[in-house]
Amino acid sequence: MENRITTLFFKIVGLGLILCSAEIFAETQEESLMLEVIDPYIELHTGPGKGYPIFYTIEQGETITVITRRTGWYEIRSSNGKIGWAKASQVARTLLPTGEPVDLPTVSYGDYLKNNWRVGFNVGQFTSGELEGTDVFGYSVGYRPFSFLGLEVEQGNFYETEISGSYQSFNIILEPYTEWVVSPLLLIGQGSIKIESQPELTPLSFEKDSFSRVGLGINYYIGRNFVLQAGVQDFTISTDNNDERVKRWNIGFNAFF
Amino acid sequence: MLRFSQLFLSMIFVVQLCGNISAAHAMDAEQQTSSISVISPQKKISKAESAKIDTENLEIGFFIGTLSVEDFGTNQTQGITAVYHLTPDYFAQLSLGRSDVGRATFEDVVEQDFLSDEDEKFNYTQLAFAYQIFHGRSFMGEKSKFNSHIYLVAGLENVEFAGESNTGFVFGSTYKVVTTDWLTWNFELKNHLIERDFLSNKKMTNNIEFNIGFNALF
Amino acid sequence: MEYWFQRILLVTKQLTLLCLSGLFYTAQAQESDKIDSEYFDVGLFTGILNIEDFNSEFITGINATFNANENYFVQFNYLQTDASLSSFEESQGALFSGSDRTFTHFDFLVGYNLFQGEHFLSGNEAKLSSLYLVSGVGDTEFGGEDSFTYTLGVGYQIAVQRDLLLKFDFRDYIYKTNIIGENKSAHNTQLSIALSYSF
Repeated sequence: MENRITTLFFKIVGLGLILCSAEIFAETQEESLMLEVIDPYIELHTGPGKGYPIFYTIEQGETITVITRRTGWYEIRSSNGKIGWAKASQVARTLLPTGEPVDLPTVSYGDYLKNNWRVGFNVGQFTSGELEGTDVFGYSVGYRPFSFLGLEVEQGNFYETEISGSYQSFNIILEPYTEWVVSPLLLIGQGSIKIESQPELTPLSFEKDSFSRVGLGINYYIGRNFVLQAGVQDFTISTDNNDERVKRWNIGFNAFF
Repeated sequence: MLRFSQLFLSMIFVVQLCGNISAAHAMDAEQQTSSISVISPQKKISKAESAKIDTENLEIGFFIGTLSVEDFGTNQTQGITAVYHLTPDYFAQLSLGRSDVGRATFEDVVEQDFLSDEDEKFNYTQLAFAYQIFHGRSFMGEKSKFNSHIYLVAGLENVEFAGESNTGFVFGSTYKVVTTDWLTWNFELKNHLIERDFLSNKKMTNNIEFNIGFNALF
Repeated sequence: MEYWFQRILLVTKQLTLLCLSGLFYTAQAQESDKIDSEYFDVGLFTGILNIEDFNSEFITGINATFNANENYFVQFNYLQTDASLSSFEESQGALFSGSDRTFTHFDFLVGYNLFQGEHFLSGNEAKLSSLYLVSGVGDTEFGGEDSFTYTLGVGYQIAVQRDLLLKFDFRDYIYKTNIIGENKSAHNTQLSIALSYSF
């Protein structure tokens, strides 16, 4: 019990540190970014969303200052001091004072997954073997060194009336067609599984063992930073006698940043 | 468990559907504008105004939601309500709510009835005052724009439950969206604070309610 | 012993991730880094939780949100409280004691902004707001049980200051329990107010 809280505490602190470090590094350069508009016009909304009304338009050739960014939106200041939100796709088509096109993330997936962090969670069920009918949820932190390859650490918890336990796993994810809105992926993982409470009558053939797994899945990109994932996985748990194989399905969400 | 998995899945689909619907709206709008050929330039742009509570100061409607009763469970609640706007910043609200709490789990365990059927119903009559802390607009997709208001609510109520009739307090918050000039949507979060003497244990109880209400404007 | 080992492993893992993230952000010194971003918010919440068949309790917790785009966000929540004796327990004796009386819950949610808005406290300064629906999964520990939990909820938030969010939330934690009665599904509802810092 206490150990679980401590572990969780470490996880939260860890996540916090990652987020904070991202913030510190992002804020070290304080000079603001000035750009020249090359689109016929840029529309300024009162808030970062399609629904917010447009209250001002900035014309071609004007200089703008970028203040804040949110996913899909930039808060900008016009040369005459109007502050509002513009779509990232419009701001991305602007020029630096040197005349070079600006390198801001636009609205697409694919290559932008490269060098991205990812957090997510999933829910599912084991459908075969000794864990049949056991509900699972997992949460993961991942990093993608290449657009087609991701690495992630996953923590999973599973529950049934009489069984409960957890697993930790390190996964490699291969996703060759990231430019597609619906894109297939292959998952290979290695980890350890631990049963916290065994059924009273017939205990499972494993208690605390290692496992490997392979899985197939599909990513559906809802936005540039948000993906719905579904898949099936085959776990091979190494036990004292025979290897125990369990299948699992899952559905979940991941966010990139 | 399977049922819950299905519930979760269907939630996901509903969420997804909402996204798709708003996207579809946006696409429709684009197609329409491209098919219209402009003959003469419009000289006067008629300003689009969202519906708001101006001449109307009375709302009458119904609500449906969930109520958790301390020591018991969470059940559906429903009722009727009348709102009178005293000033743009304040309103008074009279609500009649009812929830069928049912048998407590511990009654099943000890196989004994602590309450009669009628006492298992939670009925409240409530008079509350609301103060508007925020007013503004809410947007749903690109096309829908509504006036909306956020209120803090406090009031007094009479509650009949577990064979007692008690005076209670209610605290909460309401998010009111004026969807048309005759209809408002209300998201109400409430806590009923009631002192209750049950199983010879007298204590202050918290009973959480969430409801969605639809009121007609008069 | 094994726990210690696991803990050390975890710490190492976190540190590695931290270093990686540092490297990543220094390596990526490009135009977009000159801009202050607002992707995350972290905060504290407090409120009341109705534990089914038990009492209502004051709770405190933490939340962390990543705003994936203008419509969706993912959120982590953690809360803890100690359950006092219910009326039934007051008359019949406590059903369990010790650390089992601590109610611990965490969950991962996905949220959808049903309404996005701008609201005014007074004057002309619009404050960004939204009304959202959330659903997700998590874990609840109470009464010696560790349960798979579904969370459903509604809430709204207003940026009272540009980087300070005020949130009003309603949540329902749904799980199977055998504490009292056989395999019943418990609905624990929660009302809470959160203050979050956005960055």
